[in-house]
Amino acid sequence: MSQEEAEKLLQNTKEQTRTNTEPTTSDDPSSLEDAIKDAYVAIDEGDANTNITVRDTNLAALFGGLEGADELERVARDAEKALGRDAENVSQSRTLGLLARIGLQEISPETLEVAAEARDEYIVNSQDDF
Amino acid sequence: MASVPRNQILRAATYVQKGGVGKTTTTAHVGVAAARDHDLDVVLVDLAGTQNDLSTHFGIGEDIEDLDAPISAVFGDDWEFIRDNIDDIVDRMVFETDEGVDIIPADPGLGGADNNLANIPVEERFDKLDAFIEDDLADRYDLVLLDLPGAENNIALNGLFAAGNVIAPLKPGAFESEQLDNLQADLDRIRDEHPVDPQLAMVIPTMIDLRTNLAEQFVTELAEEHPETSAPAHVADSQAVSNWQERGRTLFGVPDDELSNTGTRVLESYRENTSELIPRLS
Repeated sequence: MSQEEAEKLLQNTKEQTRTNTEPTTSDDPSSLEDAIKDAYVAIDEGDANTNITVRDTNLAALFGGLEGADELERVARDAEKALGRDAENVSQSRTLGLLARIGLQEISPETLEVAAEARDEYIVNSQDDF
Repeated sequence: MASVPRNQILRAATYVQKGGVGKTTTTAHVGVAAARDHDLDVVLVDLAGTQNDLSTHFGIGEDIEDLDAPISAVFGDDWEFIRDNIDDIVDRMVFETDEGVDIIPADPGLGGADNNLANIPVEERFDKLDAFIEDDLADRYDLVLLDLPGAENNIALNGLFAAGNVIAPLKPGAFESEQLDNLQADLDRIRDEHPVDPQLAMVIPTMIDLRTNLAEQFVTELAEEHPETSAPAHVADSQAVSNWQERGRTLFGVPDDELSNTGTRVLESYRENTSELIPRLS
C-alpha cells in the first residue's frame, strides 16, 4: 500500500507546472496565527478595541425585535447548545458573538482552530513576562 | 587519474544568468572529459528548464519522453516518503549514455516544484538537492555536474547550495564586456540574500573566434584580470559543436577522422580545462 501511494505521489510530481501550482502568500496558517497573536497584544496594551462593530440595519431591527419580544434568550440558549457552552447571562453582544462563532465553524472551521492556537500561544508567552 | 574518496562526491554547477553561452555544452563536455580522461564515475543533472537539452545532446531525447521517476520529486514534501517506499527510485531516475556519463534528465514538474519551494521556510528551502546528492548520489558517483537554469529561481539556488562550485561559460559580444563583474556581483548578492555560498571555480571563454578583436581582447583581459578563475584554454567557436549536438553526440563521441580542425581544438580545450578544474573542486 505504501509503495502504491509512493508511486502515485511520484507520478503527480511530474504533472505539476508553474501555472497549476502557486506559492501561498499571507493567508497561510502561520501568518494568520501571528496576526491574531499581534491583535491580542494590541488589545492588551490598549491599542485595539475589544468591540466588533457591525453596521447592518436589518440585523439591528432583528435583534431589537428579539429583545422586545423576549425571544433573545431562546436564540442565545440555542447558540450555546450548538457550541457546547454553559448557559450564561444573555445580552445582544454575547449572543452575536456566539452566532459569529457558529458561522465561522460552519464555513471556515480551520480559522477557528488557528485562532485557538494563537490564543493559547499568546497566553503562554504572556506568562513568561515578569 | 583523479582519486575521490568513497562516499565523497565532487560537485560543480554551470551557472550564469544569460542564455546561449554554452552552459549545456560545457556541462556535457566537462562531464565526458572527467569520465574518459580521469576515470571518474560521472552523473549530469539537468535542471535547466524543461526542454531537456542535455539529454538531446547525448541522443537520448526520445528515451526520456515519458519519465518514470522525475527529478522534480526531490524538491517536494513527499520525497522522503517516496524514497523510503520505492527501493529502486534512483535507478529509475538515471539514464546511461554511450559516452561514459549518466544523466538525470529535466522534467516538466520542475516549474511547479520551483513554485512549491516558495512555500517552504527559507532555512529549509535550498537544501533539498544537497540532501539528494549526499544521500543518493555520493555512493554511486565521483562527480556530479548540475546544469542550472539561467534564472535565479529556487531550483537554481538549490543547485548553487548543493554544488558550491560554479563553472561559468562566457562569450564575447556587444553587451558582454561587464559580464564577469555582473556574474560576481550576482554571486555576491546571492550570498548576501540567501543561505547559499557559491564560489566561482572556473570561467570558460566560449565561442571564441580569435580573428575578431573583440574575442581576442575578451580572452586576454579575462586571463590578465582573473588569473585564479580563468580557464587555461578558451573554447573556439566551432560549428562542429552544434552539428554533432543535433546528431546526439558530444565531440568526444565523434570518430577522429570525422572531426574538423576547430572541433578538435574545442575538444582539447575542454580536456585541458577539465584537468585544471577537477583539483579545484576538492
